[in-house]
Amino acid sequence: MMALLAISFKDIDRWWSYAPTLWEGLQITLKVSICAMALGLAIGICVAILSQSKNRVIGALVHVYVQIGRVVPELVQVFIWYYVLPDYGVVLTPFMAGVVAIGVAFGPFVAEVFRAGIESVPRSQWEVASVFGYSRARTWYRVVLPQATRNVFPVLSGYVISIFKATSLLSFISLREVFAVARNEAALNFRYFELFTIVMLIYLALAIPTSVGLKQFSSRYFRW
Amino acid sequence: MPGVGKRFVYRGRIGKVWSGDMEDSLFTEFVRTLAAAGRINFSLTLAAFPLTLVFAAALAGLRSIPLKPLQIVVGVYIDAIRSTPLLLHLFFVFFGLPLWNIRFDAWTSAVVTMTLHFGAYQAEVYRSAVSSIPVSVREASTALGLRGISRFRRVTLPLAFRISVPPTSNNLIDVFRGTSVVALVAVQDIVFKGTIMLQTYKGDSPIIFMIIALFFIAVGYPMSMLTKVLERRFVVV
Repeated sequence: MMALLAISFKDIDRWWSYAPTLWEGLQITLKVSICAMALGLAIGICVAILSQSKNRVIGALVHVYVQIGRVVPELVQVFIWYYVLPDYGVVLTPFMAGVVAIGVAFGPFVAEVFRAGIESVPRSQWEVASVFGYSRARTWYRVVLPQATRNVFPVLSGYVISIFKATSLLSFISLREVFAVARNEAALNFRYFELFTIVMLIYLALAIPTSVGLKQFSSRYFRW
Repeated sequence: MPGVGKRFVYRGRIGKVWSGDMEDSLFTEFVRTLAAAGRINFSLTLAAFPLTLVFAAALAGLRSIPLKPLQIVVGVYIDAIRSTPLLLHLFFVFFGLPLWNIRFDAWTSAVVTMTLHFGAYQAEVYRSAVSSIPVSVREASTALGLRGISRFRRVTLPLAFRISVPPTSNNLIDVFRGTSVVALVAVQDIVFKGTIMLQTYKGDSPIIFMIIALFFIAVGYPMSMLTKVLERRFVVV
């Protein structure tokens, strides 16, 4: 056990030598995550708004998307966007396929969260808004969605971390994000344990500040 | 692929129902091969989910022991697992642990990984179930003279169990979805078979992935509907 914990300068030099490639990978991870979050949030909010529609066809479509999207694994969705779409003439780069796949995969979860948030806003808010002469769109934008967002923000920030985690799957459609980089390095020098520990620490270093930051943000921004 | 174009003779429980010179269409062959591979996903779920429940109970139990360092260690474990990907844990167990001379075959390492991973989530489910029992219930049971183990067994546990049923069922769905990832360490599950078939039947990728998606939908959709029913059934407070 002590032998495993013993660290020499040589080790530190080697760890430092991973830094440039891991940094490149980390940048790609961050870019993919942020784009996928934006897409997932946009899809989720739109679907949540649509789920409030009285139209039964729209309701059925939303149900199908939400329920199916929740049970088909992210990996399968990633493979569908990357391997199946080229058969229909849509060739996506790994980055694009990753963003779309992760965004679409997390849309249903975000939609469910937002639906709960929207339903937690009392009906009276709609009535008050109409008394003030707000249009429907304005009521959504200025009254309902801000309150819904405040109510669901903690759950939503959990999904931000989940999206970070899900991007690791994109290493299998040859996107050179941080996990792919670590796997490549490990395949060269067989130091799997070391590299995966470093990647684990990187993911933690992404997740912990993000969740702390989002908590801070919500306590500042949602004080009303 | 073995069996393509072979004569198909069905001998079911009812006897010989259908036999003939009909050639298997590629589609039925895909379905049969993928469904056979899907059994791995089932076996993984069936093995990993009970272990998850037990492991999570152990974690939650350890966390409830009033010993600060122990609580911190368990808490750090749970948070660290929950904020890092399952894929990474799988690679840890499959490629990392052999360096410490701990070797599993692919299937076992998948079960071990999923137990370690989803156990952390399930432990949180237990913890939040216990902590969502109102303080007044505890006070009332104390007033009735229940204390310690007997209070836990007669009041806390039944209530916490009811509260934890819907999220546990959600976790079961997550375990099942999580089995797709094991393809990446060459466990021959349905996704693995699908990607292998992709190399042979390049043009049929839509059919292959449609079958895979339908497999997950066919199992996952009833489970998620069941969760909704349970959510309505097990409303406690």
